[in-house]
Amino acid sequence: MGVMVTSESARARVVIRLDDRLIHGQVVADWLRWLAPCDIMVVSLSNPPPDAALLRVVTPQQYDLAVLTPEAARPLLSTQVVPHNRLVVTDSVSALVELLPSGWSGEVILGALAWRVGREYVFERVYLDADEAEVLQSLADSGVRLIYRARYHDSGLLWRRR
Amino acid sequence: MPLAVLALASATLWLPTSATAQAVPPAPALISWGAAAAVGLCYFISQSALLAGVGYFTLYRPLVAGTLVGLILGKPAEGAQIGAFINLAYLGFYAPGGALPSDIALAGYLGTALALASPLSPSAALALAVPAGMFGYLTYQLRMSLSVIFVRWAERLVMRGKPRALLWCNVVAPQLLVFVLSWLPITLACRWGPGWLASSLAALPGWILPALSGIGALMPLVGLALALAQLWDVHKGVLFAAGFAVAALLGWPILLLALIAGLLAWRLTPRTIGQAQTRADKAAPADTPITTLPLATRWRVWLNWLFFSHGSYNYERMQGLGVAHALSPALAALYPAGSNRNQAIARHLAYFNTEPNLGAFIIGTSLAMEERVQAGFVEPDSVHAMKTGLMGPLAAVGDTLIQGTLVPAALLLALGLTQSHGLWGPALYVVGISLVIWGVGAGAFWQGYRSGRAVLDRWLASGVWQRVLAGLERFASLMLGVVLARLAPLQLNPDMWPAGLAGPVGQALSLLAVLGLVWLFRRGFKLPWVMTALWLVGALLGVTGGLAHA
Repeated sequence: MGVMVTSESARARVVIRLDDRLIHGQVVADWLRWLAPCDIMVVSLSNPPPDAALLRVVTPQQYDLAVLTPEAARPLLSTQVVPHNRLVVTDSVSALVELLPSGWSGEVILGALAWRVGREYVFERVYLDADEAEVLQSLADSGVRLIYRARYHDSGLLWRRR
Repeated sequence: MPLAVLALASATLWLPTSATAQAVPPAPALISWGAAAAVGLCYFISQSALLAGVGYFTLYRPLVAGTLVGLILGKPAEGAQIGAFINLAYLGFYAPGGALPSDIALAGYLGTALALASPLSPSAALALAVPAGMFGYLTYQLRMSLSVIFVRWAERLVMRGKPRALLWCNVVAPQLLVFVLSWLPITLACRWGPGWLASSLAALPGWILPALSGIGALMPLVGLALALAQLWDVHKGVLFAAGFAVAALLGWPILLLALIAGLLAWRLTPRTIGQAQTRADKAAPADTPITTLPLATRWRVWLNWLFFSHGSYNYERMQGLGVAHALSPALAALYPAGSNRNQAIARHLAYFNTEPNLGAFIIGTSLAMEERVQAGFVEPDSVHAMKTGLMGPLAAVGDTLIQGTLVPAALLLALGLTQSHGLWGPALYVVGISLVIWGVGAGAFWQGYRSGRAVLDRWLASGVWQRVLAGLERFASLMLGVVLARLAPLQLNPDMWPAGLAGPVGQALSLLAVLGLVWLFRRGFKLPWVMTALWLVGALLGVTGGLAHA
């Protein structure tokens, strides 16, 4: 069910998804529909940054969208600032590590990291190089639950030590 | 969990429970080899790249599958009705990004064949077809994994100066794989399945068949609930209830109800949707392509993409080989044989995945940019950057608009038409959805080629697609109510109710069940758990004689 960040007043959820496609079919046609009402935060370290204007016009109007750096996004994971469900999509392992507050433990959905030279198969749509795998392993060791889930209703596959 | 349910169901059917089971003669074959092979062929075509990009929207859908099986077995009207019934259970089906939840085509072909050629009622056949769809999902996984081999072959052969190998790697070999994985199993299942089921059911306790019928009777409610839950907000809930009430209380023809739903959806969709969105930054400069490629070459690129974008769809590069194959005639025309051409083709073998119809815009733009790359005005990296920058956003729009909303809305209309006008329902659906898909794809490709990114920015910022989406969602909400009231109400056993009450109570219970399922799904209950609970409830209803189906 993603990261269950539950405040006393509202059962809002913050779901963090690692997916280098950022806004795409699975996110808009599936995850946002099931999490609605919700907003979406795109978190990236890429240079140049993602085209915020383009992402805005391909996201249905009812979902607020923000494109942020991990540093700017980190405080927004707090339950105090989540009025409704929030989907946080980040496009790289390094951005994910910077995004998560220190000592944080919860769930991260592994959505997709595309194949490229040097990366190897981990899950259907998730390919990692050795460094990325090591970083995710250390996150898992520190208590972060890493789950591969393409669609909202998928059962999911838990990250195993590899 | 669905596999566990399937295993349980299969085990129940396999285990002989009485001494008479030992005496059952070999199962008679109820479908001839020719008919079984024809059903297998239709199933293969639904999975293949032979239908110009519309197989997934037409032959893959149980409504169309049921009709074809009916035609093959000489019972077209019955086949269409059974296909429509099975399709109700899959109204919430879509596969964004190639993430397939179940193989609904297998459920459609096999379920209809079983219902037409074995003692199973349509609802009992559906109860077996749903888990069969899960087996089809495993086949899909196998195909997506094995097809990685083809893209690696292609890469090696292209770099050795054999670009013609793209045809073999993207079309011939993968389609042979699809043929083996799809045609053979369903041909055998159709040839022997009905007979085997007939003899097995004769040997099993009498409660099995009513239990299966009870389970199958509930499956359409799941499909309707899943479709509604995806659209859900209070406004859509009101529309759904209104559609249901009008259809349940008034005897108006379903075509009239659909027309009213369309008009209402149009009237209720604010014209301001999407208009507030404008691109804050400057529009990309208009590209004026240097037209160096003959028209015939550009058409070959378009047709390659239309037919074979998913020719060797695989987890490693997704549509990467499809892009390289599509563009290969253009690259062959732009570069003389040699390392430049090989490298140009290899560039396009990189990971790529988008919604293929709206995403044809990217192929058109790539084509125009490749002309400029060859002329030295554009860097090759710019083509890659354009592709990776647009593939996600266009998939977001395309998947949401086309397979997430348009197809379910069209199917709702077609299911209604099938009930009232028989074969006109699937026929009009196939023609209509094919024309839309081809129109969108062709428009996107040629606009991408002629105008480049600027026209896309203007179109997206205009908010047109958002208004179309909002209108389709309203139409679908109304029609979900109509279809529930007319096609999928629970058929309660009239003997257990005072005269005239079974019908209205069944409709009311169906409405409550769908709303309850929507509530469960929106609360985060997972589909496999809900399905398991429904299997138990359905079996109980069937065994106790609560349903007329049983």
